[in-house]
Amino acid sequence: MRCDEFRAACRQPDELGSEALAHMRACAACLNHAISVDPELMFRGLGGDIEPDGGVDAFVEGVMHEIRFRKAERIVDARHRFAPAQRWAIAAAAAVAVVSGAMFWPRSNRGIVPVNPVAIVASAPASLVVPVSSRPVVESYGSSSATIVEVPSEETSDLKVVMIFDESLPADL
Amino acid sequence: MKRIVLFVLIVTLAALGVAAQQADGKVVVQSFKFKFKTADRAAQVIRPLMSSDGSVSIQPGANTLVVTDKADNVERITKAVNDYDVPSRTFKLEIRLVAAGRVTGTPPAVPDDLREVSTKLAGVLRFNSFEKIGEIVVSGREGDAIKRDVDGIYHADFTVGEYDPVTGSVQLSDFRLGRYQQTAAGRKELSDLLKTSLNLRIGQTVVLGASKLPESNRALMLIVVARQ
Repeated sequence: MRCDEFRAACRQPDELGSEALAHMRACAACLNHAISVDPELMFRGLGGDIEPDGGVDAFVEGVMHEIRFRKAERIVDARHRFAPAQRWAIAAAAAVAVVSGAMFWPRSNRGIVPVNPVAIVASAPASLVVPVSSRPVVESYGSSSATIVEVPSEETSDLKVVMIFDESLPADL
Repeated sequence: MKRIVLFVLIVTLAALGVAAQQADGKVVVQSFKFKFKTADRAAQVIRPLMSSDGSVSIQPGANTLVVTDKADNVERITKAVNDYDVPSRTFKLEIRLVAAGRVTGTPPAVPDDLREVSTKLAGVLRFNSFEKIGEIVVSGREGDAIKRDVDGIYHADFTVGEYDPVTGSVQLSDFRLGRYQQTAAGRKELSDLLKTSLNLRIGQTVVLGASKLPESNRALMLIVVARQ
């Protein structure tokens, strides 16, 4: 094909045949002309026929079949990843984790049982309450330099002796 | 396989055991609304009864405490609160002033009402002479300020504090013991000897001795008993 024939054929770019495309690939001036007429002509000139063997539908069906096959293969593989003994071991480990969690869960987060407010009973006998701890006899003292000695005695003793030694006290107490 | 099944069974039984244990030490919430005392002060009173897991929140507007603790602890706290939130109690306070000393030779006879105390004191202190200076018996309600002269030589003033149901004690706060002294101008002036706050367990005899030094041969003994 000559250049003038190619340029004449370019007036109808959709009808360019393989001979015209071959000329376009070989002639730089005609390629430039073809691009100016229709840029798609350049891409058409790059390759030949891209339709797969058996048609596009057959190609797509083949790809989808491959995808389905791979998916089924993965599922079967996952089912056979752990042996029965391993699956039991995993169940036991999960049970241990749950029990450990229950044991070490902070007490403050445990279930709280709400109780309705109660009215305070003013006449409760004092004997109901057993002293659980004692307070120091001398809660505070005016001089920080004094030495306060509480003579040890039993919690229930009826006598408590405390001595204060304070140099700021007069000698003739 | 059998070993694994056995293991799972053991774990399940252990879990049931833990669950049963938790049920025994369950935490409960109890609210207390106070009629006669303040929730703020009550929180301090019940604090020694609380476990390390317990907590207390104060609602000053409603004068209410909300206590969260183990069930058995809350039971004890409820008893203490019931004993605490009552109208002001009246206490009878017996205060005796005694001059204690170490004497060589035969000590003077101990007054009859001091004999029991002096016998016990001789066991723990090295005093062998006890001379009664004076005595006052006063009644006071919680919050009352008391002022009394003792034998015209000493003067005691203090405030009767609140009863603490947890320790079974009452506090004599701002307790001041002074002694009257004659000035050069012939006037009588009060000089402070002791300034302290005392916790007195109801019914217990408290002997508060004061001396300049441990080796002093003379001490002033304050013998105090609080009764309800």
